[in-house]
Amino acid sequence: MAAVLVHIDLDGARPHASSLMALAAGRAVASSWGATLYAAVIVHDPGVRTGGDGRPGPAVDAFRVPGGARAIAAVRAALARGGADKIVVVKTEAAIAPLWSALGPAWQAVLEHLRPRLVAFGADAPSACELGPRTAARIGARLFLRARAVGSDDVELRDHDGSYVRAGDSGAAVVMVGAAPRLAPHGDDDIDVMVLAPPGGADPRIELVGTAPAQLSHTTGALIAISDAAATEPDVARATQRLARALGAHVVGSAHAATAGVVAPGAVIEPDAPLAPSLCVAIGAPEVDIAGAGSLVQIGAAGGKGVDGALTGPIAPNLAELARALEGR
Amino acid sequence: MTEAVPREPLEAPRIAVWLGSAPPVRSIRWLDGALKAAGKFGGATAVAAGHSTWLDLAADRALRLGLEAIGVVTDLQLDYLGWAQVMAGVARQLGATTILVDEASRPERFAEVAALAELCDAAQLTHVVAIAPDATTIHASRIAGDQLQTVRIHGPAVIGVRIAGPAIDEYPTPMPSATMRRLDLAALGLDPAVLGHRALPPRVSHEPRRTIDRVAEHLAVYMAPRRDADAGGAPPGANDGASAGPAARPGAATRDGKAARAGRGSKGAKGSKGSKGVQGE
Repeated sequence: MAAVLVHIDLDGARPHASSLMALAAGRAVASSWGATLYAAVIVHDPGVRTGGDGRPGPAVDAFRVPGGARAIAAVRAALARGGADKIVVVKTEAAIAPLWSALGPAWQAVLEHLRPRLVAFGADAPSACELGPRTAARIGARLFLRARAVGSDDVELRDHDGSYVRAGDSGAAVVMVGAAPRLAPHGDDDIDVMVLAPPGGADPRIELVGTAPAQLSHTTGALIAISDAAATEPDVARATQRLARALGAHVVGSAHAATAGVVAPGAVIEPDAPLAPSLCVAIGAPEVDIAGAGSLVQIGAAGGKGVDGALTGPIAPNLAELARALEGR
Repeated sequence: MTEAVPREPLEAPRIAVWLGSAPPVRSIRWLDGALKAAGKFGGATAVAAGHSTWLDLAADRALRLGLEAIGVVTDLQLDYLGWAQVMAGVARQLGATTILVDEASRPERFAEVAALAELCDAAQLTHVVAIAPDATTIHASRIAGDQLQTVRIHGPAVIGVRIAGPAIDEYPTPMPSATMRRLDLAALGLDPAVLGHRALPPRVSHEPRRTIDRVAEHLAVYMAPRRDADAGGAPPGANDGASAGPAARPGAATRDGKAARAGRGSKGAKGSKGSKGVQGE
């Protein structure tokens, strides 16, 4: 039976929400394709041992993730309720960090063990941008960015370009999942857990020496950029904040826009400061540089080349309708 | 991470910067930033591939910052792994040990970082916002969610940079470059017919979505997934039982549903088109 593999990042001692979204998409696909759905999580184990021949050591029944027994049970239960058929736990002596250099050797062991036909990552999961494309390159797979599951019987995964992966396709595919269908929680918590303990630690060529909070201007997530004129209209300001909540995005703008209250003090962007978020929703004509956005949607403007969406007409009603549409998803 | 760094003596990295196969979507600011970052190393070479108009622009921007330029002329439209093969071929010719990739100018390019690293058997680092050479080591800062990671790089690496140059409103139309070194695929040891297996179908032109429903559908794949109120974390898409469950929704995905359909062939069918289709939403 074909394997659909979902990489699970941990958020503390729980599966990351984006990984669970990928698991939901994987469940839909695996059910449609008649495949087995594996959820794989990499955990740090400084005492990991390997067999003398270099192959993974004998499986042990410990399923250790940070947080103790209750956290272990929670992760296992969450993955079971998310629809996983089997759970793979990979132990690595490397410290867990969202880097290929840290996780790659352990992840490679999962790929070799399962030889999956489809590998899914949550598009916003911490290590997805490092592991997803490298996984695709390693197995020579097609790569789909910000794809969603489409269909209820013959489910396919489709990205925003219209490219898709279907049950009958040949070759492997790697998918960064941006949206998933709504699924009922699964009730069977008693699912198999497979433990791998491959040899090797982190790639010493990449040395992580520290972390600190990033500035908002460096974000690679979603942003809403609002113009000074739009920010001073109370209806627009309210609708903007509602859309921001629905998207899970920050609202940025100039210092002038901040005086209207819709832009938080820490979200003031200087006019020449470059932004390169994955998505920017521009409201009016923001006084910030949004040309580096991966995807650009304009509200209150006609759009043009390089714009993925544009809504003309009154801004506040359009924003409210958009927020309503997203809140229902 | 506490692993020891490699002990063999390392040489200062020889740098190439991959500018990609198409011009920036909206601004050349990030292109300039990548070139400027490469210029810090000295002796860096800028590489682009694709149509001559784009190659001339890439060469013009590189030469303005004192970098040599190489253009690979080809009409092929390739996927991430295809373009990585092209750049890897150039890197071999140059003897480049470290490759910077301008990953901000076009959203699809960040995947080429990993593909290049795989082909060159190099370390990889994506989402780098600051970089500084230091003899045989490179210091870099990268974005990981809401965290800024500080990293030291030892040895061969492919580094995806999102570093902006100065703001620029307009720039002169580049003239055909006389100094750019032009290569074809054969010169890189690549067979266009073989490389064509990584070809992408021509894309329909992207007109902006102009209705609430279509814009919302587009935004939905960028929504931050919500953590479920349940501490166990049922899928963010999971409903709370208030609406249609599997029994109420034919075709809803369940493990039982999988079993019911297990008789379906799940192996890939030969000749299937896979991602070849280009369909609107």
